Amino acid sequence: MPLSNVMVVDDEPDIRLLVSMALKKLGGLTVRAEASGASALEALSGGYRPDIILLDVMMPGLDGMQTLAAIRKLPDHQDTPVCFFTAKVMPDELERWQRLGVSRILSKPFSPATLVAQIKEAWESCQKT
Amino acid sequence: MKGSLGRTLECLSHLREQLFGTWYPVTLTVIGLLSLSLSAGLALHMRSQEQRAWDKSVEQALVQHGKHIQDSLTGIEDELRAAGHVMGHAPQLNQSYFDAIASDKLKYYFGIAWVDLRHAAQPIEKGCITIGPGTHYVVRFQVNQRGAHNLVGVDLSCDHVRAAAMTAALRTGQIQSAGLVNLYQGNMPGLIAALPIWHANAPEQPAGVLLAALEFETIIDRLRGELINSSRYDLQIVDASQPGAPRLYPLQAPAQGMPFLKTDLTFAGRRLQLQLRPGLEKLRERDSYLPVAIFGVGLTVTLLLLLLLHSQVISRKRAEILSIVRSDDLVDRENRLAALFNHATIGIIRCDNKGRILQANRAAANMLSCPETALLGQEIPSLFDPRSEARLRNHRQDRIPYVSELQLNSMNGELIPVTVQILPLRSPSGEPYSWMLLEDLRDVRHAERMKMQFISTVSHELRTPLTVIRSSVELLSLETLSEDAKILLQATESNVDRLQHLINNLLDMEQLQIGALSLTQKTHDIRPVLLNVLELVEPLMAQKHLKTRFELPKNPVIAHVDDERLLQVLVNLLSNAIKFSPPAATISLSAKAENDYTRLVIEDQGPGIPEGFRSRLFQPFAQADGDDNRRWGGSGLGLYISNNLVKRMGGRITLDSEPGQGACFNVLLPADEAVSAATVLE
Repeated sequence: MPLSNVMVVDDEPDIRLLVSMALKKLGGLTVRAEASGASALEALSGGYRPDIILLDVMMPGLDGMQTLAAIRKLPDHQDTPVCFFTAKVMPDELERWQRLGVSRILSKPFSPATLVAQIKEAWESCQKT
Repeated sequence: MKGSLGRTLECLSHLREQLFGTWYPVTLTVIGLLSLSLSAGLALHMRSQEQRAWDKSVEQALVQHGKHIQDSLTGIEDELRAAGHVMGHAPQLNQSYFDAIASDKLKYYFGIAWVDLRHAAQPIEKGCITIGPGTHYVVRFQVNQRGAHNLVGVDLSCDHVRAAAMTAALRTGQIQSAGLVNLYQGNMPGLIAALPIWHANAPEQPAGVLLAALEFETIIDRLRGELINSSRYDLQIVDASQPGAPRLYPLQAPAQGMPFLKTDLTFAGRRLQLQLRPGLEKLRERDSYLPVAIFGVGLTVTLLLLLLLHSQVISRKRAEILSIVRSDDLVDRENRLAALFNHATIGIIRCDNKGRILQANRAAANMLSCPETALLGQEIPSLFDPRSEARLRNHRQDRIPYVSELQLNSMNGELIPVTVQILPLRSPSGEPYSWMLLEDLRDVRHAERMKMQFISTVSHELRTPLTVIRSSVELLSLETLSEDAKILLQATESNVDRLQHLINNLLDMEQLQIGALSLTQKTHDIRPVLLNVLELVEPLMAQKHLKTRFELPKNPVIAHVDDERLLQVLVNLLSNAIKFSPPAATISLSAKAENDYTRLVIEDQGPGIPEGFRSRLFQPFAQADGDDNRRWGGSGLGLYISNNLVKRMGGRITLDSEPGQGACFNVLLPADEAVSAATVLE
């Protein structure tokens, strides 16, 4: 089954717009964008099941880490691949994230084409395992 | 030598202080006055002693002189009387008999004559003698050789007879002039002695008179040489039996003072007197210089003492003033130094040659969070953390100035970064000691952290909008657009790239400086990276029509690197080479294995790196000159980051460049993990 459904969580409307547009236009994917960790959790617990989730790390309210922890507590989403979106990667954080089951770290700024390729790659590697 | 003299003077001065104390000037004055009065007294005493001795000698001389004159006079009188006696008993009393007797008596006399009165009724002239009539006789005496006539009457029998004879003679006009009969008159210095002769055959009247002219000059001259130097005084003989004591000798005497010595003489029953009066040169010649010399010495000593006193007083005064000035100056200097020491913001510690603290200022105490006094006696190295302590203990032995960044171990447990500067010195006595200056680096470190924080925040905040712009441009370029719109989009894209590159560099620098940059190194063939790099810079090369000279090695090129970071380094170096190459030039890239390292060489044909810039080449924000900066763009971070990345991977970048002959960068990469680890540790 190919990748088709992606959830994007970012507090920046422009980023949400661009990521959604890139994934739709370049990847032919269906995208649901949420502005905060809380609304994402609400959607997920409401029965929405994306193939992969893109989480911005630095968000007001629930940040990427907290949101991820909450997602993993949802029974349906313990294995859903999650990618982190960040402008700044600290080496110690990287390790922690990987331990928590972050499939991939996507850095800002990104090129739309690269982003689509990276997301597909991440999803595929998750499928293999 | 000078020192020992100085010490001697010091000792003397000290001794003087001990002996006299503050009474020194008074003592000096008293000694001066004493010496003056002593010398004056001694001089006066000697002067009077001398005077007395002189007076005594003169008195003795005079007495002796008088005795001699008296002897002569007595001798003459005796001879005359003896001659008179002989003539009184002469068988034939006449001139020839007299001549026979008197011939050997002439030595004391001017003249000696016999006047026969038995046949002379009228005054007669006989030889040089004129004799009046009667029983009285007045003698006119012609002085031989001198030519002057002198009337001299001499009565050797008795005064009243002679006086009456004189009066009668004057009355009768038988004599030319008369007066009281003097032993001496006129300018002849002498006296006439007349002795009446009674012949035994006619004893009733004198037969004649024996006349003798005596000359004092002859008598005194004979004595003078023997006894008295007459220039010292005036020797006079006066007739003491006459009123007013007329002078008999010398004829012309200078009017001098009163006689101070006298001795009596007698001649033929008349009283004469030998007198000494002060002469012109008397005192002057007899004067001794000794009293004057003594007084002079005393005066000199007094003057010298006064001079010494003066100089002592002056020098003491000067010393007092100087000591006041000096002590003021010292106090002032001390105060200034103390103010500097106490209020300096850097920590200042003085310690002995064993590193023990002798003195510490407030700033040093504040850094160590303890009172200043608590630091005294402590060992310097013990104030630092163990690593710094070891370094300091190693240093102390060589005692050369030392500067280093170390960490203080504050009493409250805080580690304080400081710049330590040790200045070894020697005290005037040769004792080694040192000053240690501590500059607190906490604020500097804080500022550095703030700077990095600022860069981090700014970079992060720039990245988000940049992402939006970049993605938008990329998505937009997929749309159908006019040619102009495409050109504008390209311009936007390339500038976004440039901005992104700068931000990436800033973030890398921050990560490198705080040591937070993570690398993923593996030992593998890096040929794919090299190919990738060439691919990436191809568009830039094409723009300037540059050629690449690169032969891909046939064997694997093994290095222990982080591929992405190596790519970044090579792109940086090649971008620089491209930037500085003239159009249509060649850029070469080569790779070869060398023992533990793999050497990559990037060579261009640009202007090369100026000599003066090489030392700054790998520093952040470095550019050869401002002109290039504008011409070529770039932040000046590329080489700094590249160099640090390669270092972190365990390699190094070196430059081989001659100005005008292009630049040649050598990138040495570790061949395996062990080499990398060893190099990084170094």
